[in-house]
Amino acid sequence: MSDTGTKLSDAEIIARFKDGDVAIFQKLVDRYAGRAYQIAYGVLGSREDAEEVAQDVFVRIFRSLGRFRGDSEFTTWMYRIAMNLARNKYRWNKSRGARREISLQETLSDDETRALIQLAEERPSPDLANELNEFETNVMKEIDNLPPLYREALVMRNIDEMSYEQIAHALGCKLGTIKSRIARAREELRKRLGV
Amino acid sequence: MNARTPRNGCPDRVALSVWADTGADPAIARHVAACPDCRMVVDGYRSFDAAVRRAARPPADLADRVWAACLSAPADSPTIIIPVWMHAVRIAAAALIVGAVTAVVFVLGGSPAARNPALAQAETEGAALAVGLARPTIYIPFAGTGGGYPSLATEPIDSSRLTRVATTDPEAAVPPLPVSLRGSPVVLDNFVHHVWVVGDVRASEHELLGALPESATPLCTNRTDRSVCLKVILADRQLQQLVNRMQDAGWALVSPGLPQPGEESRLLATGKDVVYTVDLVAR
Ligand SMILES: [Zn+2]
Repeated sequence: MSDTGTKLSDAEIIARFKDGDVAIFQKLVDRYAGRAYQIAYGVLGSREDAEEVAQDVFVRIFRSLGRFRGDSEFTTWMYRIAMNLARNKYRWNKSRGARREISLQETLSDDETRALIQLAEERPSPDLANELNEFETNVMKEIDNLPPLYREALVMRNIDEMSYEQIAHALGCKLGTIKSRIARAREELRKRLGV
Repeated sequence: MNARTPRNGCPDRVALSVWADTGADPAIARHVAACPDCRMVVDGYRSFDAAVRRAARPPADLADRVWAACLSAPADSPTIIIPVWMHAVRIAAAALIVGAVTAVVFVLGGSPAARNPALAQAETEGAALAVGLARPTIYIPFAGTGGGYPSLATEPIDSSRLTRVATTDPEAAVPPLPVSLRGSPVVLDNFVHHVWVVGDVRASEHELLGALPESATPLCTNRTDRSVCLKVILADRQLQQLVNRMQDAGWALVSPGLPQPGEESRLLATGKDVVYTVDLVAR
């Protein structure tokens, strides 16, 4: 049904989707589902939740791609959706844990994030702990304990090809803020791990 | 935390962190090469990065599952393309057939909106509803949109409701639309949802799978004793042929959306792909 042999740009894939080639959407999924997962993982620190968010991101895009106007790059749009859904899920998880009602429609401010960090329960160890060596396990445990704003910036930085500029764009922050958050995340890890 | 200027002569930690990622500043590069403290810091950063990359690695089969999730997501109410001149006619049509709504709501039983988000949405928007059962085709004008058809269900089908629908004489329930309302051929929406009432669900599912083109990969999204929901991507022409075959098999199509069996002339086939959601429900 779809041409699978050629390397199409995102814009070309989207154009063909709009022309009725629905199956071609799978190419975007193949290309970017992993990125959505990693962004969500950066916020949520849970593989299960990250996969759920990645699915939600692409289901929403699948439903609305026909209306995507292309004002921004597809990836920027996708990163933003992934980040918003991951933050919503984070807040939902935490508000449930803390028995606190927070509207899912609200946007998450830095202050709210800090307040939620106070409320956060101990996060269970990553479920892939037995695949990692001791140092990696310790790093992941401490990353889970980082303030979410630091953690998500650091994880996004480690997602292939995400530049500081792209992270700033996706998180809606200034470039300097991102540089600072990543540096603080690393310093915090150094302190906690005694590296 | 001392993220800035940790020692005389050493770059601050933000600069060091950025340099660890970009390697862009030759002065910092020279400093790090000569300063064991900064080298240790940068090595630490890189070891964290490696750990993060490993932990955040997505599962190998993630994309397959994400794609399956896309195909199994409930369909929106599909929309159709209606020529401009038809908008005025649709309003008249809504008035003409609004009386039929009561009958249809009765047929569906109880409070259909409570169980069916598509109907609930249409009701809250104050839309005039008109529902077609098998044939003839009935249009559903949605307030504020370009027109559309209802999807009969976005949740697992309640077969008792459909049995009642199927046993109602469609000609009696809803008058046929005037020929002038049929309009010119339309291009299918990207999503088509059909509910078919069949004799034996398992046998019909088997028959349906056998009728699909080889390239199609159907996905089962819901299965109960008396119903099954499948999704499959088909080209619009293939879908028209498929619904013709389903009709030939003696199944009853309950949904009004195109393509309708034997009504090729109403379809403007372009070869586009369509996500076809098909519910087979026991009579
Ligand atoms: Zn130094």
